Amino acid sequence: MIRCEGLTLRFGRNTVLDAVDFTVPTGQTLGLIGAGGAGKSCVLKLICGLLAPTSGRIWVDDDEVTALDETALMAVRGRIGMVFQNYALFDFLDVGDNIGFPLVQQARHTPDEIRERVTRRLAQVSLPGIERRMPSDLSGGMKKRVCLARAIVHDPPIMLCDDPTAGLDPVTTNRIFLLLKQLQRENGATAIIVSHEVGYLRPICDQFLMLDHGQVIFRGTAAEGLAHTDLRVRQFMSGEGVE
Amino acid sequence: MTALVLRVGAAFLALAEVVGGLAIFGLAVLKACLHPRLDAFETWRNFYRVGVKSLPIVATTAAFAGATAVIQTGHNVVKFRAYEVVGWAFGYSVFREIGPLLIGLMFSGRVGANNTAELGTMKVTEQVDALRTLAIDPIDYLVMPRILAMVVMMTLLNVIGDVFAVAAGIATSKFMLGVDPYVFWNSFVEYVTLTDFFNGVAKAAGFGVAIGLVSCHFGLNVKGGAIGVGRAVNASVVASAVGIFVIDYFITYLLK
Repeated sequence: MIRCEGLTLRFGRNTVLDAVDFTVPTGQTLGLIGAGGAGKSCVLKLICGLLAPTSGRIWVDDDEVTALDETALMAVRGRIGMVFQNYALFDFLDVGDNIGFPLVQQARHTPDEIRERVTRRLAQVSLPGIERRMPSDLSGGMKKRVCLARAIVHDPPIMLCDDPTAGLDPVTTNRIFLLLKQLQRENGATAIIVSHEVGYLRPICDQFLMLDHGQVIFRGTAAEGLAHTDLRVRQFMSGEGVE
Repeated sequence: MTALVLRVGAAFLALAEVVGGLAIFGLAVLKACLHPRLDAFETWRNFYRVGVKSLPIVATTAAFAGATAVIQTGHNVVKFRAYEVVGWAFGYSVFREIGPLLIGLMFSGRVGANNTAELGTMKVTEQVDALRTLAIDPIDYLVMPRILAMVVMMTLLNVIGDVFAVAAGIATSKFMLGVDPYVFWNSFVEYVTLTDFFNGVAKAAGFGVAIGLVSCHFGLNVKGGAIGVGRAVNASVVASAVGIFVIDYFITYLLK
């Protein structure tokens, strides 16, 4: 379960998030949508403690993230898999080592187990056999998929995906969303997916949250969004864009 | 007048921010030293990158420093025909001062700047955030291996540099001053003590700590993308150089 209460984030005079409230029950997927600069990525960074809110509280399961110190946060982060908007692949490690990195650090798996998991995850993101290539040799779309493979390699019960399909072709985009749905079904993972691909998000998200200039302007199901009185919400949910 | 006061105040605040930030960072590193969790691969990679890759530039610097020290003393050596002191004058100045100082500055320019750029790039490309979301402390994984590698390798490179400096000193005194290598060596081993040698080693270790702390601190506090990385590298090299001279002064004073 992920719960945010009165989440406010300010950088100087700039209010990025303004009293944002939402709850994602265990095993459900939330689609976090909104125009660029609405504060979506900041919500994800706040949940895993990379940013500290100006005010408000966040819970991940029974842990109040906003009340934990850096050491205690480590335990919470161990249960989270995060896909970064800008890939965040370690450029001094090859693809195989990048994906296996969380498992190596956990020190609970044999090298053979790690190799097997890395191979399986790479196949799931349609990139088989590229273990020994360096991140600098990959295209943006490939980096994105490697980042996703790294985020899911340790089967985290919580997934935070920041635009996991940006820059990908429609076939791969569809495959990535199906994979996220499959993982959610297999592991019962709780997920928040930030994306502009609302058409792909609709079948896999249980509920949506739309931000506009740091404020929640919609909270509900896809059907409720399509029938919403606010034109911005209707346009975004139907994929027509915001004027 | 108000503008001047504001500028002085801003400069003072900026300096206080750097010094305070470095102190807090130093304490965090010290705390991590109590329960070191070094990643073997990352530590080994840094030892290679910091040490082996720096060897050519350090050897060149040390050799020219040694040769220059002999040339500087050469005028008086020839004038007073005091050939028996050339090894001492060379060894005292190179082992205690010129060697560690020049190697430290070269090391700062090569390794420190590179380190700040690497960590700064990792910061702006969210690799440091990625580490934290994987429940890995950047101090343990990134900073500790780098500082350890810099302290150990700076010390070892200083010792290797001493060897190159002595070789260059002997060659220069032979070919430029006409001093027999045997005379140079005798003067060197008779008057230059282990204290002189360890004085330089202590300075090298101190410089390694300073360069490591400064370069990691500036790298992990980069703000503002590629421009920020450039600014951080510049500030890191300047702060490291200042740190080297301050440490040099205090170690010289303490071990005088």
